[in-house]
Amino acid sequence: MTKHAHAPADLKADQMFINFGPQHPSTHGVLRIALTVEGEVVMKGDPDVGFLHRGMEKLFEARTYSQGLILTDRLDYISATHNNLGYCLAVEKLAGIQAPLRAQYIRVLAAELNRIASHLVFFGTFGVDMGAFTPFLYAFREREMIMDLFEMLCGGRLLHSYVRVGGVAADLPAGWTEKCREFLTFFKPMLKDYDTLLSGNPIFRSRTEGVGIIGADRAVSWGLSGPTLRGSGVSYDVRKAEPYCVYDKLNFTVPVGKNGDCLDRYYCRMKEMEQSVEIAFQCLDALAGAELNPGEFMAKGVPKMFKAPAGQAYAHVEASRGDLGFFAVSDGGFNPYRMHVRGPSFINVAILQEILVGCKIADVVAILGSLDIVLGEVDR
Amino acid sequence: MTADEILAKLQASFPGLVKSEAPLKDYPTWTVPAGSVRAVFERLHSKFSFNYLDMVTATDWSGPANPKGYPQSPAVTPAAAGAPSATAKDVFEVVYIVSALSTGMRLCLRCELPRKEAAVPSLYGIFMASDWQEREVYDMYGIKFEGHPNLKRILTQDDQQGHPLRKDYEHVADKFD
Amino acid sequence: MTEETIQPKVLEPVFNHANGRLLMPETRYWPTDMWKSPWSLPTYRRGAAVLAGLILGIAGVAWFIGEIGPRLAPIYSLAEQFALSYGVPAFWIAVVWTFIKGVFVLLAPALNALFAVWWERKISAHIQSRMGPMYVGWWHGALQTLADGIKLFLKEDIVPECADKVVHWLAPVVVLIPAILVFAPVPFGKDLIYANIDIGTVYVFAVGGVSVMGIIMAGWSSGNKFSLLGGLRSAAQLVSYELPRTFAVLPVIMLAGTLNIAEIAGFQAGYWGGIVPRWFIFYPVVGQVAFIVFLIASVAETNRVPFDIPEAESELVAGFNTEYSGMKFALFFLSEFAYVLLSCLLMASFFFGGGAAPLPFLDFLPSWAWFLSKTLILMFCFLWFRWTFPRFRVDRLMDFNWKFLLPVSLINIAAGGILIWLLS
Repeated sequence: MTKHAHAPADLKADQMFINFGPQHPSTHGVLRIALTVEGEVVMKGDPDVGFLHRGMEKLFEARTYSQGLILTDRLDYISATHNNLGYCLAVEKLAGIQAPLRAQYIRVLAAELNRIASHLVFFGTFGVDMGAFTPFLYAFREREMIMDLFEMLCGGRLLHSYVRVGGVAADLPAGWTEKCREFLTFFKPMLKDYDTLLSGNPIFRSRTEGVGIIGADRAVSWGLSGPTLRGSGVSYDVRKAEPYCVYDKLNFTVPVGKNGDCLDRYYCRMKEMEQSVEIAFQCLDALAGAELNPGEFMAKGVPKMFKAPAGQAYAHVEASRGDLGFFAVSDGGFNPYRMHVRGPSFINVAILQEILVGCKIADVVAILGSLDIVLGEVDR
Repeated sequence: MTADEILAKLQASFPGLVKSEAPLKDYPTWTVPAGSVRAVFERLHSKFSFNYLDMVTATDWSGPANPKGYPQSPAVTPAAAGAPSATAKDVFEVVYIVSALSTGMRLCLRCELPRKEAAVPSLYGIFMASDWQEREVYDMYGIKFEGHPNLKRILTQDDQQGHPLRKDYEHVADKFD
Repeated sequence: MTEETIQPKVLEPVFNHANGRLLMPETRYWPTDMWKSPWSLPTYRRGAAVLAGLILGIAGVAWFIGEIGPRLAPIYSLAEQFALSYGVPAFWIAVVWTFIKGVFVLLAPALNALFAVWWERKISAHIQSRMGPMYVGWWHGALQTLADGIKLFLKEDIVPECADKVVHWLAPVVVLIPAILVFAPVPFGKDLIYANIDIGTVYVFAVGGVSVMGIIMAGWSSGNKFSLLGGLRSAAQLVSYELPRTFAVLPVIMLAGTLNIAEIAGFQAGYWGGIVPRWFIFYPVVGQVAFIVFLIASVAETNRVPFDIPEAESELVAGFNTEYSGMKFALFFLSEFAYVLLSCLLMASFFFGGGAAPLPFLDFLPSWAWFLSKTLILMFCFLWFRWTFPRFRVDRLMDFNWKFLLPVSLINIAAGGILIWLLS
């Protein structure tokens, strides 16, 4: 984080230095991009992060494993369940806890609902970045229903802390599955609405097609993940590559883009929502089945405060923004000796310094929007 | 090709490369001497198609954290409040997780450094993903990545005193306290 | 009307482990059930009934009032005789009368902004499936704009430290004054015109072009890089789009043979075959192309989505008016809506026959009512565009103008000539 931002010394006479952020409507938080522009064309773009740094990794070290869960909500606050899940998987691996099957289905269900909610936020804000305000409210109307579902599930709307070490906080409440089905059947045709509203719009396409192209090899080299990587045509999804919970029992496809431009990244997310609906339906069906004991949502005998045996573990999940990893080290005590978060947004946003060169100021917004970063996770 | 076969092939040219005694769970884990980190990764990248750098981080093994390292005193549990750790060593350990997207194989590589003037070759150029992650490790631990073109603080402000994730870090009160 | 409770489908509280139920379940409802058959909802039916009643009521009032122009003439002559009897020179009577008329013209943009902002908010709200303002005023937030205006009036006027103070102060004035002056030769109905000058069309485009200066001044003087970029963008955009906008009207002028706006509107009176109005938009191909080019260029001229790049919110924060607050900001706002009104009035005059009724038997309504309704429908299009389209990128915007609109409008002028030759 640069404390005092000044124009670079080698600024030419026909160039202008713009601090794009940290207070700017479309940096999605407190990202600063130091732009050197010639008229409308960006000569150099240097992302500067850290304005939201809260020292999460230090704080983990002073909290027990159960307390640390609350911190993970605040990483990527748009998709809190994924953070909870990744953290719990890492801690479970470290402490040798096995969550019951029913809990795993519920986890996947909650994670996929949260993925839809998160991608809806992306859809809305990407539209706003493009100057179309209406899709935002459409997206938030549907997201509100997911928030209601989560509120019924765990009391929290944005920060859930629903997934706990050893299972989930509570079983599905009575009547919840019907509500969830009602939402999913309502939501599925809405995706077509979004396509007619935004994806098919010629102005929108002219703003996104061929803008911010990331080649497949560059994407892999920069360590991008999630829809940002898949938009470049690399079919890498942690749910398929290293299945966690019950993803290996579920039937879904991974949408992949072709050109790696903003439109592909955008459309990967839209297609992912479709897949998430499918996964959620499959989970609901499985949860209604007889083989999962109702009420068995937590592993037996997991205390509030426990010691994990000395060792190291790494677990990663496919969060809404990409490959979210938790690297946990235990020295045999009550709290993690070291907890590192591999935030996908942090790694995805680094590529900005390469792809911003030569684009227009309006494209900066489009490219940044298509990377879909959350600054809570970038800065941690 | 399994991880062991790759290890055997690599050991011919890098005699210091060995299997770790306490591996990362479910991951083939190797220990690399600091000097040959870049060469090992170059070989892994070019010969064995390990093209995706998952994570770069570090651990300070010098014992439990100093309670003065926190801006406000957190609810430090008994175990963290200075009880000596059994694993305490005077080293930093840099941890890399690298994977091959084509085969789905994953590796964890570790490298121990002395805490004083810790330095390790940078992976910048082989994996661009190392750019910001190495900067973060430098910011948090003060480990120098030799060959990194832009090694400066990233998450904390540029006039920050000390490296916060070191276990002996002491917080200097500032205007935000 | 019977008392029907407007009760949206309430999400039944579902028990969960912690707090037992949703917080405030009565405020949560899902659109899932509502959307299956909207006409079964009492709200929906009542809204439609109110709207229909409103339209019929306004039509009735308009029919009752009749033409305003002829009714004012006897008042004027009465006042004139009264003044003459006291020995006031005729010259001064004309001056005072001009001033009184001027006040009415001044009211047009002000009242327009008052109404149009409310309308925009309501329409945008309904496009976005929400309610919009509902509380201020007696009906559906009708006085919301007034409250907003008072708020803007009372707000602190902030001038940035590094702004060029004089130019910063002058810019909103330079934007607003042409926006008012431009209404002089524009007819609001039959004989409802401030200055019936013969070069009305030229005057409107010439005076309207002055506002660009104010926007550039605002962008330059704010001492803000985003404002500067906004000002530069608007200079490029507004000057470019003046061309196709003017060229689009040329076929109309060629056909009507006059530059007087009222006469152009009057030229389109009458019906082909007694049914199809002789509006310019119904002239084959030339009329439609001219209208579409003029509409697109007008949207661009008024800085509205999809051409709002000078104030592109997501890129330039607020463009040229980033550093303006309070009443100065309100003046920019006022002039923007004044230009929207102007564009709609011009389109009504040039392409939709001005005050002529669309069908012969609807003649009983006065011309100002038709003018008003045509203007409002066109204004709805502006709002509709704004809340549906994304924004153009700045280079695509220029491409669109120079490589598409301008050639099309030029070809259309030639086509207009051929049409005149065919008609003669």
